[in-house]
Amino acid sequence: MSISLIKSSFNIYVSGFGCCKQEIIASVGPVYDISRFGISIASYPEDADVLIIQGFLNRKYIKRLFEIYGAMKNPKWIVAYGRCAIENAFFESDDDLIKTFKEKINFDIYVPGCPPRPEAFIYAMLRLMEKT
Amino acid sequence: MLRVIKNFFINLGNIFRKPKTVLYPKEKILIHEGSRGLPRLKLNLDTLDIICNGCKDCERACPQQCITIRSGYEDNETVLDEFYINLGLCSFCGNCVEVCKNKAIDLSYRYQLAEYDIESLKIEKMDLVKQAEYSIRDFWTKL
Amino acid sequence: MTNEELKFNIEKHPINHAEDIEKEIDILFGNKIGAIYNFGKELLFDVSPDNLSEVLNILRNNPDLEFNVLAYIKKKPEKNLLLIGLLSYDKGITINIRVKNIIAERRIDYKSIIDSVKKYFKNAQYYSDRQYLKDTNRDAVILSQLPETLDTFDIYLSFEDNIINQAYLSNEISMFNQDILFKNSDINKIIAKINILSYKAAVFPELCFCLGIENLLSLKIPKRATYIRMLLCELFRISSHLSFIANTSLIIGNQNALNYTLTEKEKILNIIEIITGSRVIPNFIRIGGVKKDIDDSIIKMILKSLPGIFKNIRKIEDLFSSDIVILGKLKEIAYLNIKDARSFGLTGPNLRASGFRYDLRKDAGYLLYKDFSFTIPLGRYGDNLDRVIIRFKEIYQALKIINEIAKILPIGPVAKMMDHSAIVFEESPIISSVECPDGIFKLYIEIKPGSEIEIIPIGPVSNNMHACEQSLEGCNFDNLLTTISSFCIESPEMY
Ligand code: SF4
Ligand code: SF4
Repeated sequence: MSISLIKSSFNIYVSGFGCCKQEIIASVGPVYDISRFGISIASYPEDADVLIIQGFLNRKYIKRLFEIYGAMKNPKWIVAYGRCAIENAFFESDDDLIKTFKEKINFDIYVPGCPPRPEAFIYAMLRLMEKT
Repeated sequence: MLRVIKNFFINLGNIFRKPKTVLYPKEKILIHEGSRGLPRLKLNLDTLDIICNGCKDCERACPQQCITIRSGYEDNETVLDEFYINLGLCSFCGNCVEVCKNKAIDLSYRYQLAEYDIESLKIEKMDLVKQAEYSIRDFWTKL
Repeated sequence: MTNEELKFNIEKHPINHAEDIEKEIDILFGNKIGAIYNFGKELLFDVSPDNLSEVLNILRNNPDLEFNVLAYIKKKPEKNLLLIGLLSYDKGITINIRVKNIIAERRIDYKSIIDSVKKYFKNAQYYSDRQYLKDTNRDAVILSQLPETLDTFDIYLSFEDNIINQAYLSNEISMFNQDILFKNSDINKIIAKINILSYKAAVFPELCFCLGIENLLSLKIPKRATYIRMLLCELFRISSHLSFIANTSLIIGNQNALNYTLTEKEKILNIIEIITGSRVIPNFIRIGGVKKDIDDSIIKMILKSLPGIFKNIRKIEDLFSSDIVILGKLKEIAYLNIKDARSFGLTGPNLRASGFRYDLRKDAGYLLYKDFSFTIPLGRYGDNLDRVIIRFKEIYQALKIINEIAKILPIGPVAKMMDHSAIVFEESPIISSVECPDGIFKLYIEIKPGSEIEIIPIGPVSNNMHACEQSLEGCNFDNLLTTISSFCIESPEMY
């Protein structure tokens, strides 16, 4: 009944602590059902193709984020989901760490909103698929 | 035996039940009246001018500091020159609508946004006016 | 009854009112403490670090006071400030002590203060520096977010033959200093931003902040506005509990329960969106009322959809209380008895699952909960299953309250018209508290000269984590994840 739009299947790894995570989990649920597009949530960064950065990140977590990003296999993409991630509205700002963060991590797609609705998440993933 | 018959009827009911899943890009959920989406600038419908006069009330009231307004003076009245909204910071909170005395700004129903580069998240005056297309709830049928 | 007997009875009568306690404290301590602020069920006063030990001793051991539970300790090194909360469950009153140096330049020595608190309250141990536990518990380290549902903390374990000896949950990875967030914000800006302090149920921080400011201004809120506030609170309570249930079923690995729960949660979020305009961040409560009115068609819609939601949640509960796999993972695991639960200063469903009744909605009587008849569900054993089932029961009670509110919503204005910029505040600290889904959420608000507002949130996270750590001891390694998830430690701690 439903059409398959799968070009390539994506495993996503959701990092960070924030309100946006609820909406990502909602998009996994039966109403939005993101697995129609072959997108599923991975538990380990080694399995993931897409890293989603959302929510509040403190200094310790940004360091771990680098580790997570390093553990992911190529090719890999990064999504900035929500206001906190896009504008580096991290709670501990003006830091060398933020600078290295900006240098090391280039976002591939930005999803504005606070939090963005699940539809916006699906739309972003579809656009990311178009790009690849 | 009774349970088998009961389960049979439950399953039969499930065949005719409406599916819970919304096939998103093809069909969309009609979001409710008053839901908050991207801000837009309203036009005066008679003269087709932007109502906003650049009084900067919303700039001051915005909790995320995402509005930038440049305005000038003309005949003792402020006039709007530039109006930027940084979508990356906007949280669609609606405080700017609440505070505007001229009712020049409103929230549209546009909720699906995703951009490849961060520059296109900074939208300016004319783009904000164009968001009027999204001010009806089932905008995708009209686009 | 003879005269002497009567007199004796009167003398023996315990003092339960905040005013009486305020007087008693005033007599006992005199000028050792600063002025006492009274906010209904919360008292607040200043103590200098030198007098703290004596004050704590008397508060704990005086038979008239008996504040024998340490509710929280909040450190604020940047502001040279320390907040200590003492709770008496029987009186239902919290005493908040603000430790401040009289000479402003002198730094507070946090370590020695916590050491002195430790003498009187055992669970102060939790708030001291516990980095060494990282090295001693190295048999297994589970980093945060690796199993996809366990957020916000790393787990350090030491165990023998699959039985856990000691567990250490370190949440430093998710600790946030929220000062930058509220820098030069006025009241309306704060209301728009404050909801991320407890984002699972985002209406509660807003409500707590507004209640505190209204308390200071002694505003009276229109009845309709109060009812709408309660309606929203209960809706958010349901949504938060549902996301807890979804999490638990994900960890147990029951996809059916997960899908059912998320479907129901979607319905609740739908109602929330109709009322407030956003699914997660409401930004709806204002000082003196609420942002906008809800019309009758919406109320009719709510009334119509409630029975269906109730029926479906009932089905999920049946699944939880009859499925053998689920029961095997939850039942009779990680007991927490009343005495222990009280000693951690637990609040909310985790406390009530152990069978102790303490709920601010009934005890403090904020908003107008006294207008409605609802019961506070209690668990019996305090095991994992009780902690899950009690959330189902709370959902039913919340649905009942929503139903009643929707039926008798009075007509009238929804907000007091007022000019926020014209309000002049007295400079004073405020403590206000609400019963949020995981426990008691408190805000310490201080208004500084020039209407600058300073906020310190005091959430239930650390109490829950402490209780979780302790009940993990002696638990089987297989039950680790279900036990942790049953305590509902999902939001990061803000300080
Ligand atoms: S962007 Fe908004 S919704 Fe998302 S985590 Fe940040 S504050 Fe929460
Ligand atoms: S909706 Fe809120 S965040 Fe966005 S521009 Fe308006 S006031 Fe600013």
